[in-house]
Amino acid sequence: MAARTALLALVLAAGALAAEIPRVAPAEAGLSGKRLERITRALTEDVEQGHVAGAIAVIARNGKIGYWQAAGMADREAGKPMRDDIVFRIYSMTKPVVGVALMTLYEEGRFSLLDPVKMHIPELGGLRVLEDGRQVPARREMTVQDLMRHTAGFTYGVFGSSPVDKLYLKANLLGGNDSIAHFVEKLSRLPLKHHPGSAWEYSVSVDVQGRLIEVLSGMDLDEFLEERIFRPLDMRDTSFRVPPGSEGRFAQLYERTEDRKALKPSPPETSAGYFDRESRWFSGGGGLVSTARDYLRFCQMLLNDGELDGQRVLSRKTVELMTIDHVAGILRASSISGTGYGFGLDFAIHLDPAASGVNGSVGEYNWEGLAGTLFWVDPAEEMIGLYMMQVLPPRFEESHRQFKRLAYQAIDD
Amino acid sequence: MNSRSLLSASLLLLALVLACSPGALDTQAGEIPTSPPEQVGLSQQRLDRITQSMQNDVDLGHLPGSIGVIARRGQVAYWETVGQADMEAGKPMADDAIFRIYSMTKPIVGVALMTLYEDGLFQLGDPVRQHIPELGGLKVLEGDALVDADREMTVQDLMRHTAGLTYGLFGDSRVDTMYNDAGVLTDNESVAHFVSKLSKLPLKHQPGSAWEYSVSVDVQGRLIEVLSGTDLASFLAARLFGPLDMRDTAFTVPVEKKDRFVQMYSQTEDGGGLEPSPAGRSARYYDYDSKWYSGGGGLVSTTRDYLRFCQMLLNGGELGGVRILSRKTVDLMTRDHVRGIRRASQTLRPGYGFGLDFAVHIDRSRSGINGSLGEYNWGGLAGTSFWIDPVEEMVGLYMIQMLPPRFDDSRTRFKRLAYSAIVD
Repeated sequence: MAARTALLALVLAAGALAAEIPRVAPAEAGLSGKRLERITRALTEDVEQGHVAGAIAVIARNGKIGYWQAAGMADREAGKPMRDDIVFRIYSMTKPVVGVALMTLYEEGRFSLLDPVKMHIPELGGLRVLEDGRQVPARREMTVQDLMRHTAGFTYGVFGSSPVDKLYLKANLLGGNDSIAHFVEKLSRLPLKHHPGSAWEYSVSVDVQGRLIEVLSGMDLDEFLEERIFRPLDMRDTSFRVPPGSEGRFAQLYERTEDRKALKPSPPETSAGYFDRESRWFSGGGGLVSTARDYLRFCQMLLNDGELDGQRVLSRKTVELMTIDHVAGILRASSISGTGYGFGLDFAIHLDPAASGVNGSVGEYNWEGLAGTLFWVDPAEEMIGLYMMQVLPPRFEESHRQFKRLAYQAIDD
Repeated sequence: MNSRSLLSASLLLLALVLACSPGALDTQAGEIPTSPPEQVGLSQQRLDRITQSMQNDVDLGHLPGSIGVIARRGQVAYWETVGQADMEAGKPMADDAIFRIYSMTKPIVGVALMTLYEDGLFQLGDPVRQHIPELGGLKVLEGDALVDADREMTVQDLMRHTAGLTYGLFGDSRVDTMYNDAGVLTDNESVAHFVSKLSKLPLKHQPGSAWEYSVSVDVQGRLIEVLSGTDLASFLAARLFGPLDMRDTAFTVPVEKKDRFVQMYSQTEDGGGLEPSPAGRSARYYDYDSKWYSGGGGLVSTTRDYLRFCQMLLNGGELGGVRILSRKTVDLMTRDHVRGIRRASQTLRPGYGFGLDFAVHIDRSRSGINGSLGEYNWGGLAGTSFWIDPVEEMVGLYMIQMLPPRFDDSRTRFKRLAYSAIVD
């Protein structure tokens, strides 16, 4: 009897666990081991020069991990080395996860991309635009597509100095919220920065997508992501809160000193939200923590056209729709998305290597997080790149994006 | 047996076979096979969402009934029939129900016309007046003034809705009002009669200058009559319906098929319910004497028949060995012919261009649909719709009978759900 119970437990455990993405020798993944050493060297240099405390860099091709390197420390002061299972604040890398989750509802026919947002969230109807100090009616209602491609007319507050950005900061839009509904209610009282559809501006619109998920599904965002994404894909360490018992694996967050030459630990208050188990404020724009393993699984699902280990999250056609350019001909009002890149539905899309100067592929899609994490998915090379670190603010141009160029130069097939 | 007697024996056998098969064997295509969804890259579980959605429309009283069909790679992988064909009579929707397909008549007429293009009887750039003299020298109403047309309308203009014509029913411009006052689409004795009324009205736009959904497919019907010397109904029967075995597609419903003809419904005024449309609206489908065959919207058809038409197109112009058009002519019909031309009516959805009697998907970010570039489609006034996707080798067909339709929601949802079921 005991043996049978043990066997049953074993079977259940095995059933719940999806197969791990295999680690192979670089050559087996079409990569040059010698050229990959350049990445390790750059990573080590970044640690030695104090640009980062520690980092993990991963490259997968054809469904196999050909490079995985952890370097430096997860917590210098505590003497804790960077390890494969360290939990990171992924900030804006939350956005593509929320976008994919929202599109699972699109696939159920719950909304159309061209639906006015007010059809589902009435408070966001009839908003006004602040133009030269005057509030004027918006020329049209924002659509769900506008939310997903950052053309709704919203802004972020933290990245700009316009009057509307200042109003966002004054309203403490992303702070002190009890729930996502609470956030939307605050947002609905502020004017838009642009007419819907007229400008690409990086914004809080993914937090609105989080609310849209709650309204359409009748579930809290955290539960919905758990049910639709994290459980099927076995992303066991991805959550809005640091799971109890995992505190020891949570990376220390660092900030640059004023002279930008060294790092100092961020005060614990910065991370308090990750331990608040009462609040129902789940930031779809930046609230998740995750591991290199988990996020790689999310990327591999996308690269596989919406499925991983037999768990289908999206249809291939919907992944296609998310990863084509949706902002052709639209003014770029913020510089967050680089030259040569367009924007799909919650992803940047590589359109023009001549303009970007990146030796990657047309159609590659990606995003980054505020603390320096980044990923890309490249269907042409069947490649995924993932880079995890924890420093505010990041040095994307000077060092982290170098990883991408070095990853591409390691392709050897 | 020497080779000579072998030859004559073979000839005899061939003659015998030909004599025994008047049509059925060598001029008609067989049924489209069915297949389990998984064998053609579709997920049963995801297809079930379509059935739920269709059933939901019925349960909520949005529609009395519907039929949804998806074929991939030449095989029918999904066919669901839900609800009622006639609620008052308690008749369930049936697979062989006959529907008024309205504007889904247009692609059929376009394909029929292009068989004459392939016969070398006209070119797309021909001025229409070359074949229908009455339609030459038409004036354009600009403001209050009747001005000369900058150029004659061409056959291509008729097929891509840029001839300068309009519909009357869908607009409130002066020319639209004149169409309605003249009753261009009503009380016609023949297609020629319609054209003679039309030729007395001014154009709404300069030919080639604007895309405006219009009666131009009715004009195409007349063009077929003029070029072929047969009436439109006979021509369609001989060129398309016979060879493709579209046995229930016609301008009229024969008495013996009356039971299969779906009741038309409209929404009650308060929007809360459904009521049958008055019988008078369907009188024309029982008028067996009239020679007024509306190429723009007069046909009735079944799901099976229309699917055969679509599959013929997806196959590059042939079905089961019966060739209707060459692959190159299907290519020509299904590319965008209106790039850079102003859209003067809303009938064309964002993200779609227009070919020859088909809308063509040219921009997914504008359409918001998770489909393919190059997919082509059209729909009918009572909510029927179809699409053909060469990239995914897919045909979708959705049949309902509601006037005015609530189709925009339910039919685009059907399409999104169909694409979401692709798992290969």
